[in-house]
Amino acid sequence: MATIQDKTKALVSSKLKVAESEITEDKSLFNDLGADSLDFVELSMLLEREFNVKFTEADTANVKTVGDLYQLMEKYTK
Amino acid sequence: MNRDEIKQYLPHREPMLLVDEMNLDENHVCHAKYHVTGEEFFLQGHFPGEPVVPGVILCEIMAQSCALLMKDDLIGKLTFYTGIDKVRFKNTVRPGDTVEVEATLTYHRANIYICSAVLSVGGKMCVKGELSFALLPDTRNKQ
Repeated sequence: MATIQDKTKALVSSKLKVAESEITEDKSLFNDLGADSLDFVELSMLLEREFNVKFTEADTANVKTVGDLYQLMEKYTK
Repeated sequence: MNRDEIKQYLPHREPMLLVDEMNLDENHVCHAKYHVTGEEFFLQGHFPGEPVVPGVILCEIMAQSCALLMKDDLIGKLTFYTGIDKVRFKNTVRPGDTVEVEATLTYHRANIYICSAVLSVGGKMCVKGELSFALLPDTRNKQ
């Protein structure tokens, strides 16, 4: 059964057009995986829809790495 | 809201202010209009003897209409495109046409806004698409 991280990774891979093998917790979404601000907003929108959650501005503002994103998703899907 | 009132919110000015009137309905849908007089600069050469409003100008009309959805956030800001997606051109727009835009806000986070818009003439759809843009501080009077 797919975990929250698995689903998140799949969405990151699909949105940013990078292989799942490249998506590790230490990678920066922006500097390493090539996301720009619009990509990140669209990714947030996809995650909110997929998991039926609503992020706060403050929480998403702190997301820089894949690990940060996993932590965000864990927080919102508890 | 008429053109003068729109200028209190949109930073665009002639000849690139491309909304004549707008109103927001109770569902927060923006309804905007622009009348193509035939004197616009973008019709000169597009095309000689066969004036047609360029597609990019139609996108700009939709973008300005979308920006008015969050008019109160526009104060002290300039609007910059961040993306144009799923745009389809169905019919041409010509001098004498009054274009009508329906715009809705799809998603907003930080200073990025994603909207969908449909542009029609006389009830016939001419363009539809998803537009996104960023609001950045207007520093023109601070330099």
